[in-house]
Amino acid sequence: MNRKGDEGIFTRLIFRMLLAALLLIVLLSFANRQANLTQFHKEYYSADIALTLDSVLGVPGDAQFNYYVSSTRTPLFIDITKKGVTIATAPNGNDISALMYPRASDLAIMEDPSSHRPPWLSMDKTSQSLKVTKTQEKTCPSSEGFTLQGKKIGIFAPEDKEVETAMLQVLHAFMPQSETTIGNGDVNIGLKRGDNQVPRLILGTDTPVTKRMVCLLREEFIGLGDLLESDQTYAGEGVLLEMPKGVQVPDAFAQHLAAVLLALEDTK
Amino acid sequence: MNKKGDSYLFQGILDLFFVGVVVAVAVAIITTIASTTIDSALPAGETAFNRMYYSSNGFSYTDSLGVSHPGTIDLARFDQKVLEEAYLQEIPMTGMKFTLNFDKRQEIVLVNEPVFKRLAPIGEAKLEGKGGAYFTKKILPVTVYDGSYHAGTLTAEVVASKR
Repeated sequence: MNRKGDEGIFTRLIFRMLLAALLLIVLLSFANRQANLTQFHKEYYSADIALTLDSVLGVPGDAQFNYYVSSTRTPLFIDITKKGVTIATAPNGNDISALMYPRASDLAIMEDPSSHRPPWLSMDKTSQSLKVTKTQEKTCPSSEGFTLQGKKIGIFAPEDKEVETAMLQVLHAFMPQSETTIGNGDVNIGLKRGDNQVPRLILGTDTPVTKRMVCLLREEFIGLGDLLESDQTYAGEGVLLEMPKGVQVPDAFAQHLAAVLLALEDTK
Repeated sequence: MNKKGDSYLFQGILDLFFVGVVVAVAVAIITTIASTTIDSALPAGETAFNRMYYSSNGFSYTDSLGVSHPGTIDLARFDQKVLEEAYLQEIPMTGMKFTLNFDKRQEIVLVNEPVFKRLAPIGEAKLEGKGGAYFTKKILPVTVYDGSYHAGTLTAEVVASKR
């Protein structure tokens, strides 16, 4: 082949390689976004937060709601305005693929601009306004006026494999069943797995402790949260907590649970 | 340009065309497999209804404490302008029609009228997928307040587009 023919083939080869590289970059970028679920998280959180805000606005009276934003592989920046909720992976409009879900509101929304990646959105609705604050910790009502009365409480560890199901790890919280005074004068409350010996307990919704517990437990510990919230009479089998498999029960939670159990005992 | 130059240009354009087709097909296939679209039409429609029916800036009677009384319709607030101010018009996704019947009277209010008229037939046809719409119709017994109380019914038709 002559020189001109070689040049032509060489040019076409370079051209094809460049196109192949471009194709590869586009597809890998797309695949990467899919693998990180970035696009899904943007879709999900923009819609979910916007609809949650409108739902909170729909409450007939005052309301407080804490919304938890799970940690994602790619950090998310949340911007709430009257027009909608925008989720982006970069601040100040620097993400060209940011997603906005429209929302309907005539009520003012204020927010704390100091924190861009909050795990919590605290929504406080009164009849005149809805205030959204980004917080690092969940804000719950205080449980002032309640003390543990100096009693020691233990919570049984959730290693009960018998009750483990495929999807859920179930923790049996044990009701205070008996009180004895141990050697050093402290009161020891024996916690025993619930059975017929556990007295019937009526859960009140208006105690400060219950309100705080409902708030604390709403997302992670739905079982007890619902139980307390619905003001049901619960008898016999103690309190069942259902939580996602693998969730560790922190000490702080055990203390709160103990506080609630004591409060429940007081309401008998 | 000579004949060979023309030939290279033609082949180059042909290459570009075929690569474009391959990229489009590949992206379409992957998008179909890894679809991340969330259909929020149902909750959007229900939330819109709840805003109108339950909140203090909807059409339910609201007392002096700012607490609304769902089920009691304040006739003074059952007005297109009042409700559209409460529910911003630029929301392109939802439209609502409320029909209030009481004492042989009928009051009709449309919120986001253009959206409702455009989407209601699509929603009633129950078309699936993008371009479709969620449509719901509720008939509720209510009390109508206009200084005195009357028994009546509220028919709510809500439509929300599927994105």
